[in-house]
Amino acid sequence: MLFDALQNVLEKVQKPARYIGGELNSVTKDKEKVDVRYAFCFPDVYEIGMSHLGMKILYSLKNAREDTWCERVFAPADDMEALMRENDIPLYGLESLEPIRNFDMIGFTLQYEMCYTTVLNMLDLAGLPVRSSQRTALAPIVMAGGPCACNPEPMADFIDLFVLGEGEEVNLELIDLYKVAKQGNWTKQEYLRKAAQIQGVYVPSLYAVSYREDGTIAAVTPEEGATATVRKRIIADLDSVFFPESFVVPNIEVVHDRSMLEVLRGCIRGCRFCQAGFIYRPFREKRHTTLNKDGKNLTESSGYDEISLTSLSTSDYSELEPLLTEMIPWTSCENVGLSLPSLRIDNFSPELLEQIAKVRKSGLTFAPEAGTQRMRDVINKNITEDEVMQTCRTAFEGGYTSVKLYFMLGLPTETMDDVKGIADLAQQIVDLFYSLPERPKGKGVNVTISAACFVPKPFTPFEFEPQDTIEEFHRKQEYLKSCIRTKKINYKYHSGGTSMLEAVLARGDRRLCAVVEGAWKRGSRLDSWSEFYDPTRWDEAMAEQGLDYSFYANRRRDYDEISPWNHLDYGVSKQFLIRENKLAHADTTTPNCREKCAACGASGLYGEKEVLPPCRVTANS
Amino acid sequence: MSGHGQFLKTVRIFYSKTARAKYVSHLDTMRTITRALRRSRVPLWYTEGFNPHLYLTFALPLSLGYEGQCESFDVRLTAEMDLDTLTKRINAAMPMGFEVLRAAEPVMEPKAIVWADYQIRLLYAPADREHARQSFEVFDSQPVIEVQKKTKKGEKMVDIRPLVQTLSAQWGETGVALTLRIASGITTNINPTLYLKAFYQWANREPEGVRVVRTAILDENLREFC
Repeated sequence: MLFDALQNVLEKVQKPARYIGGELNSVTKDKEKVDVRYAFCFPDVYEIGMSHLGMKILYSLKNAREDTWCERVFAPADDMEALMRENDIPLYGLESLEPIRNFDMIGFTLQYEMCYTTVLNMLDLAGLPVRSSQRTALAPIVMAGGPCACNPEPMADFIDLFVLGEGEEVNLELIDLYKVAKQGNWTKQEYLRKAAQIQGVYVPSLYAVSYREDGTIAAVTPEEGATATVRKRIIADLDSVFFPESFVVPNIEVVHDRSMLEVLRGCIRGCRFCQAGFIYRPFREKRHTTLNKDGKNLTESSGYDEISLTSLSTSDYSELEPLLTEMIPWTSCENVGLSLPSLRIDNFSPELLEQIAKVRKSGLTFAPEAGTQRMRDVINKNITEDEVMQTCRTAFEGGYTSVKLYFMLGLPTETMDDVKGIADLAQQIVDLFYSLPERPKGKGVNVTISAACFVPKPFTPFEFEPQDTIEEFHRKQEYLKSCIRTKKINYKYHSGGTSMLEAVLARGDRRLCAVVEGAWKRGSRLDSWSEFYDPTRWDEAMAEQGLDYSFYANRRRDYDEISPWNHLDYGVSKQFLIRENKLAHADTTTPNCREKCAACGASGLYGEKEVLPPCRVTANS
Repeated sequence: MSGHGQFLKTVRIFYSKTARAKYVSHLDTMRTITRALRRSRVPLWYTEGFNPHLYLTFALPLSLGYEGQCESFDVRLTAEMDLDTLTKRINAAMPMGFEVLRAAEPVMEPKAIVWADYQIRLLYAPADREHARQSFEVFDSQPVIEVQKKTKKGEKMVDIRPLVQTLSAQWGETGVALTLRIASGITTNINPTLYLKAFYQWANREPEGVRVVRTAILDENLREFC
């Protein structure tokens, strides 16, 4: 145990509580009595990782097994990293304070592309070689999951196996198989070969990739009996799947510091830019009774005074009204606040609205994503200007004076008129405020517009699209700024540098592994933090490999090109994505899944033992 | 379980904060204990008003990185509860390193606090130990120890000698064990680090490690805060 060594360094670092564990509901076990020690690594700092619901679920799930002890590991900030390296303190689990290099399994969650160098840095801090091929022993098996696993090729050389899709079942299967391997003295290769037979497990070393002269992929060839395509896993029935009865409650403030209930998975909306909207299909909901029970358990075991109802689109949850009717009496009695989506509460009963109004008001935020109706049709963001105005009106009349709007620049087919549309929409909201006799008196209005740079992602209808160049982004940002003529509108944007890198990595191939490694060797880590990000390290690493950003980011890809993720199957078919891409170019929307099934293919993920109707999409109440 | 309206009585909870818990700052300790109290389902009083919150006051904040053996906070009960039961209930809800020692009705007011005792270990590398020992003897025998202290009005020089009493200093294998009695409370509050940093500067040596434990909180007559 490293406690003594840690005491001498922790007095020198910012926020030492990040590095010492001991939080309520953290799990300690007798290491002599478990078969498998698992390090769950979140490649970002404590406050970010501890806000993540998926980690909480998988941590509790593994620790529910008597034979497994799962611990949490986060990336140290630069001050702690320097002291760890200086004092030879290897990366350790927060529960046991023991080095993770001696653990059986190490799992990373890949939530965003910019965490890739942090993964390498954490392996290195653990005292392990970063390349999978150089870790020859059975233990530790290094695995990774999360949304970025849908195209994990830029990490293929570092990770032994990827878990595609939802982890509640497949993680346990991998642990079971590991126990057999350990007892039978299997080699790592034997374990990986057998693991690759489990649905949802992708072992990149079992696939050979060849390239054409133009740099595109010629073929992906499975080896050693690996399946031609790897299909992601889903949980068919969310009401019977494991959900924690308690969360680890951090001793320091983290980003999302509250109970979280996952009301649904997937999304019915089909916004064409949104990767989450496609890779988490099919749409499945939890029953309100299950959620109410989970909410009570969490409140009791955590002492949290806030519960949020999380999902990609909680306002689409078909049992929201019965859920709130059940939750509001006990939450208000126990001084527990409920965080709710601000949209689509217009058809509730007046009593319920009054109850919701008692909950503390947070700011009002919307994501129209685009400024003109044509642009919103292209991206299939089915929100109209009337709806935005109507909700703003209700909000202003209810006492709100500030609105935050999220947009994207660089969407496919975007023109300067569409860019100007963003400023126009914000202006209309300002005008609306001053036209209302019922507006809050003595206060001005504040409209914040935040414009991100669009990143085309795999498994979306825009996976074929070129990203705008950084110069194009700058031109659009400057133009948008020039269209704003009032101080009531506050415009926020950031340079397109990291968005370009995200686009490169999101749709990148295996040749980028050497680039990720090169950037890390030059000092890259925690790249999503602007204070640590330095693009020159990436520029040099790209140049060293003779690769070009624009090949990955700014090139239109043919429908029949073999993508780096071509052998991975997330349920949505390529034909569907091509269909949707063509509709986007024709400014044509697709109805949401409740209105009409778009035949995306995701219901096929239920497989043969179909226990539920496809998608479980119920009619809108 | 938790109630508004009238409260029945105020209870002072004495607890220790040791091991991993010493890295929880005062602000975070307040949040952590608030949550523990919510989980304990002890009938506690919430303030009235638009945004009711748990009534919870601490006698004397403890610095980040220090252990404490005599920490305390006050809460208010809305219903009668046996103090042993209350102690057990809150203890069961506390995270690692926080331990409730006892509960009692308050006798003193926090403003009665004048001194606090600290046990401090400074760990030195073998090569530095003798130098540190000799330096400490000279440093500690000075009639005046001036340090820069940050106040609301900026920095000023303060003589902390009358505010820090060295009760004992024992040099051993790994370094020194000091017992200091330091002016604490609402009128004059000195952080032991001020004194320690002045010594490091004087000796021109940083120790390899520092361990600080607050062992007693005292009033002007050196009675333990209760």
